[in-house]
Amino acid sequence: MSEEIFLKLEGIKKSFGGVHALKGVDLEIRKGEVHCLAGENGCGKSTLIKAISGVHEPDEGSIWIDGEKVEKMKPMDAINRGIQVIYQDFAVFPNLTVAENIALNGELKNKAKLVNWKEIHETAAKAMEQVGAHIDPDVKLERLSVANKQMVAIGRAIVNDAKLLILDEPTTALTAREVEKLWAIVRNLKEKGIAIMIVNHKLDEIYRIADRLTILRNGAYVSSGPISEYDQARFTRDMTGKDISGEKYNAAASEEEILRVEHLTRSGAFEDVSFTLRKGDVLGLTGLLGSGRGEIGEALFGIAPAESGRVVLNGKEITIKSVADAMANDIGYVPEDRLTQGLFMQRSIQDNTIASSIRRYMKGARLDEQGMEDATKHWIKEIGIVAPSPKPAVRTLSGGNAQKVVIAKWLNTDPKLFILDGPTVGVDIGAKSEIHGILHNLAQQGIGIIVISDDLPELVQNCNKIVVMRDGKVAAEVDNSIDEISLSNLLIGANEEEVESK
Amino acid sequence: MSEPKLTKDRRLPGFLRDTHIVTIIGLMVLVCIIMMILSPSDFFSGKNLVSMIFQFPEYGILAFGMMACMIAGGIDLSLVGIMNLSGVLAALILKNMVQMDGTTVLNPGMVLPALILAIVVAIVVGAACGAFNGFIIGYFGLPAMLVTLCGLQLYTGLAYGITGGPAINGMCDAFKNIANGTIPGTGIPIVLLIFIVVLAAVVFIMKCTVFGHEIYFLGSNAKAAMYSGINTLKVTIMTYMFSGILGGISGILITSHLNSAKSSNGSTYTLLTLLIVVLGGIHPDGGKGRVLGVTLAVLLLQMIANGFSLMHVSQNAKTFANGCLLIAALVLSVVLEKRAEKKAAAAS
Repeated sequence: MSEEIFLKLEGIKKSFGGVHALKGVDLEIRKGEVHCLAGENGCGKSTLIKAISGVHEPDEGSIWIDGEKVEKMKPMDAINRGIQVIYQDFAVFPNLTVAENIALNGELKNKAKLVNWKEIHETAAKAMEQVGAHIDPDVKLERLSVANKQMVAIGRAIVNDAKLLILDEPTTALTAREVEKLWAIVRNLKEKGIAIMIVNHKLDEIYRIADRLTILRNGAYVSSGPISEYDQARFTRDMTGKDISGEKYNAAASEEEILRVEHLTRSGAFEDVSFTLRKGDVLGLTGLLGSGRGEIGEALFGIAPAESGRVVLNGKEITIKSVADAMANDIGYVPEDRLTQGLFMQRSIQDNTIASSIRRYMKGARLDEQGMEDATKHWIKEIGIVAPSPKPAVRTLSGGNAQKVVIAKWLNTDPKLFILDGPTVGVDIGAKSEIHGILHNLAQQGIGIIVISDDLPELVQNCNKIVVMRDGKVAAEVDNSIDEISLSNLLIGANEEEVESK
Repeated sequence: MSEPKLTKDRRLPGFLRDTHIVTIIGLMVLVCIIMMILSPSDFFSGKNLVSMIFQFPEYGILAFGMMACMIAGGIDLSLVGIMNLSGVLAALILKNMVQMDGTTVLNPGMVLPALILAIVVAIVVGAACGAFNGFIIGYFGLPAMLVTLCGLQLYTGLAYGITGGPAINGMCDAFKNIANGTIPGTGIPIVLLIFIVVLAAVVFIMKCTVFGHEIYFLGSNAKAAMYSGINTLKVTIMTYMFSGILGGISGILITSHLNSAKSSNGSTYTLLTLLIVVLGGIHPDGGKGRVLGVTLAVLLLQMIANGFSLMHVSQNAKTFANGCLLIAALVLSVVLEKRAEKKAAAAS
């Protein structure tokens, strides 16, 4: 790492139709450093990346690249100056081969009219070597794993003479091993003098890789400095603007059992999973991607049913082979992806709220419009959805409010067991704690709550019992006295003895 | 329940805020003005209005089928095939049960049973064809456009196989009356009544039943519908069945109207119904649109077609004009949507 600055932003402001996405952001990235950009969702990280890559022209502020002030930058200017962004979807072409993906850009840039296949293969091989990945250049991209697609995207950036590589939440879809491999590649690129900016908000990952850190909040610059200056408390405080109280959810002790799962198995997903949920419990279900945490939720909701095992709900053994079975047993499920699985974005709040309970509103031959409206108004008030009426389309709502609508949809079915996969992903901090409050209330009313999440602070604070999954099996069951670091170690299977002895 | 926080929407009534509907009404006024200038006496004559009423119900009813499938996120290109297959079977039943000598019926007692059987068979066959479409689309997850295009070939082929080529002509007067007659003593065409009954049923199903809401849910987001506990396969099959039933009803009407059944009747209706629903504001991606918009679009298209024939415009020019309208309607729907999105973005 040198002291030489590659990219400097000063007072960057950008608004979209009255919304101030960036309110004066400063950023300095040095050559050959790994710089982490952190902040809650909606803090302006994506807008900032787009400003750096020339997609959005800032309303105010200045950008220096390699000591030179750049005005009115277009995406092509940014690329020519060595700025390469790798977005979460990698923007690769699934139907083209690895070699084509890596080298075609360059061919286009050179304004070649004919494709030189030999050159393409050479370029691709060189890129893969630099990245340190071994991927067959003739394989089509769609057949690669997420991690390998990412390698190809990085390879493509390197071929295009990247001087600053921006990785937008690069670890979201990776397994622990793949994350380690990615960090090795990042370190390797760093040694070559390439600056790397990583957008991430998971502290444990940031500690492993970053040299310096910049934190944004609500579109404004908060702080910046070497990673050594940040401890957990400062990091959270700078991210959220509050000192997190650290108050944990504790259930009133009850022996009344709501749900008992025994030896639940679906081959290839999870195996021999058992746990018990008592009245008042908020049960956390966690694990890395691919650990089977989400699949258990899908099995209990009948989307991908378990092949064997017993499920006992409120003292009655039930069989769940389909979504209809799950609903007949009063099980509700908030899916992981709100946008594609949870909501009808174009439809009104009312339509979304009654989507799973519409049959209740049959009055004779027709639907009771008034009854549906009243129910929606009830939930708007009850769980604090910010909306003027039940009529606006859900797409006009913020992430937190939209998620509350998904929750309302299920509460309107009077569930006895309520499973939520990633209930607060993409939800701002205020709505997040409101949603947690709703869940605590429901648990105290005797509804079984299962929260599936990889947000460790969320789990420790809001669940009184946490089931940790690893490779499809239950690795541990802990209570909320565990700290996040030990929980994180449990997830990846590190320091096993040490943790288990606790 | 009164909530101080939840203010009642006090803007224009819903349908007047729908830009599509306002556009169609505007276009209808425009057509009226143009016709007033070009040939006022013909267009607004009572005779012309009645002749229009006899024409639109058969494709108007088809358009409702197309509408339901498009709201569900699909399309039904097989409707004309279903219509002709139903029509051919109905005609066959009538020809076999009612013995005729020229235009005289030899066994009048058989007319009513034959009529009822023909209508029931047409509707049941329509439902079966639709259910087949829906099953293939929903169960195998194939694109509706391909499945129903194959369905069009399949049902048209079946109809052709049954007739062997030539049309079945000369059904009894009672059958002819369905689409050509008026209610005795009033001069109101029977088809208008049928159209209104079908329209009322369609409005009721789309607006007041669980099934209607499920069609909208399926079209807005099929995955979310599944995650909300909606049986998407069942809804898909029912939607195409619904469309098929409307195709069957239309088959009765067109066969009666032309007093002739064959596999190639109304072959322009596939494109025409597509044009009607898009013009009527049914979003090609599904999940959006109103029956009112489609109904108005049916009337608008009838006015335009009628205007063309009053001015003796050739069939080719009509086809060309319809093509232009379809493109314009599609472009307009995208432009309106983008504008609405911008407005929404600026408002938030």
